[in-house]
Amino acid sequence: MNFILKNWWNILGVGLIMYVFTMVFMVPMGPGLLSADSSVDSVSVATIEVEGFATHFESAPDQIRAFLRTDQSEIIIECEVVEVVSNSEVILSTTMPSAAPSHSWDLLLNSKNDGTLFLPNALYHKPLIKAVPNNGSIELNEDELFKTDLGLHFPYQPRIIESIRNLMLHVPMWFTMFLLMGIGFAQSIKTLRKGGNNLLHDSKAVSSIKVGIAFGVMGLLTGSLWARFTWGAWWVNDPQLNGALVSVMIYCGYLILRSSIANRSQRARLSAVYSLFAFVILMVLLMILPRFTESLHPGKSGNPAFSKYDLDSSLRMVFYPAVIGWMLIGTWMYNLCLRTELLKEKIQTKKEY
Amino acid sequence: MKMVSYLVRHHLKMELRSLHNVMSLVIFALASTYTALQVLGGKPDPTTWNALAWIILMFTAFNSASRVLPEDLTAVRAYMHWTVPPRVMIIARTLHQSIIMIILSCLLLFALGLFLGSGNMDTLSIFGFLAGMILTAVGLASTLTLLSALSARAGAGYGLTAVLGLPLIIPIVMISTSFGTDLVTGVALGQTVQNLYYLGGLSIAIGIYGYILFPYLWRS
Repeated sequence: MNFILKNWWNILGVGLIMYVFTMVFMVPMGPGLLSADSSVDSVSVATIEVEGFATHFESAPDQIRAFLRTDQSEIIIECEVVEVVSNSEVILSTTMPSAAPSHSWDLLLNSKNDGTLFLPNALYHKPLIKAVPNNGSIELNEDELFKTDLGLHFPYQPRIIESIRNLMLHVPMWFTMFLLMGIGFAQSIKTLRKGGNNLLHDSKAVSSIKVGIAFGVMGLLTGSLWARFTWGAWWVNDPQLNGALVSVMIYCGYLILRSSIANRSQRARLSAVYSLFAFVILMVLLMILPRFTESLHPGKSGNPAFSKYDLDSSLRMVFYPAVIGWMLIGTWMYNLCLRTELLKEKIQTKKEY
Repeated sequence: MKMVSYLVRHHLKMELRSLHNVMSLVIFALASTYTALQVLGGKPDPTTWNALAWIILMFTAFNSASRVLPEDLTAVRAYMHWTVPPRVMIIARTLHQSIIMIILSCLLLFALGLFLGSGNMDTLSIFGFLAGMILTAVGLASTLTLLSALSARAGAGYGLTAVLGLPLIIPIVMISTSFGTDLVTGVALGQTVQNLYYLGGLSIAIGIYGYILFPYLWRS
């Protein structure tokens, strides 16, 4: 009991991380539409092969309804389901109207087990007359469609798909790194205030920065993996990515600086000066610069991370515990690192005398 | 203030007396530009021109920061320590370094224009480019002055300045290179002038930060 009371935050951290990993690997993906292959023949009959992701077309093939609508929803036409090939493939067909206000059509597919799925720009067809026709459009009645409760699932997002699970690993790494670098910043200020004679603060600074670098490297690796999946390359030349790499390099410079100074109290003071400098550059690189430049990284123009509307409740349910859990693990690692640092120091002073 | 101007004048006087220090920097800038001309065998395309300009400026800044200033020698520092307050010292050093760098960047742009052409810029853009170079030079000077003082105090020689400095100057270099790219690809100066403000702001911020931190470096 005493053990639990004493180490409650370690246990909480491990528990949260276990919960996060379980959720990350166990929660299924929600259904979505991957792509549509369409062709329109000479008599304006369109054939659309729709490919779905995590869909269940075969479970209720009679209850699939599909609609095409123009991008401003001026016209809605219903498609006929020709064939359900497999759980993730269905072939639709419809006659295109001769008059339409635009040539790009979105696809809506409603089925009993998957609810309503949406695929923007599924079909391009140039209409004979560019106008809004008076007839031919149907009224879509919301009540006729199936509303399916899918249970707990991660939302389907185009191109990201399954890799949305990486959100719980990649983003908390950076949050934890900021926390640890913040500790390093605060401890460096304390070191300078105490005139470099109080070496405890210096040990705290160096151990937090060491662990911070580890989290930064993990953030880079998970980010690189994600980039390979969504953007097709392990590394792209992008301000946010370069900023992240450079900030990790700056903190590696901190370790190089420390190793080049022999005098203990001078080392404390000089590396504290450098670390204060480094923290500000870190802020500039990761928080300020990306807002002024174009970037592939999500949540640009205002927020260098995921913006609010990208997270739905199922993601939030895992994401917030992940952030807290990783932060607790990070602080635990920092504590262990600090203890080894202090022990090393003890051995060092024993050797010297 | 009086002390600052005295120190800066003193530093510049010292530079003039042993001119080989500055001359070696000038030769460096000219020689790199000329080598670029030899390698490229003619006028480069604007983006290459832009890259060369910033790379040479950056290395000139590193060379300039790696000169041994008299007050970094132990004996002189002991004297300076009692006569000059550290805040005055950092302002004087930064100003001195900035003045040298501004002169060098003007010369560099002249050399670039002479050997490699103007990178397809009109007159207004060239002046904008020069302003960007000067602001970058000031930013680099204030960062590298602090770092060269730091590595001198660490007694680790000037290799450390480069190791620590290269990642730290990346934000400045990122802004200035994107500014330069805009100019050489034909964006009007008015549309990319905000980059100049960012550069100026960043330079000032780094200068102020150095001003706050230097006393901790200086005392023994």
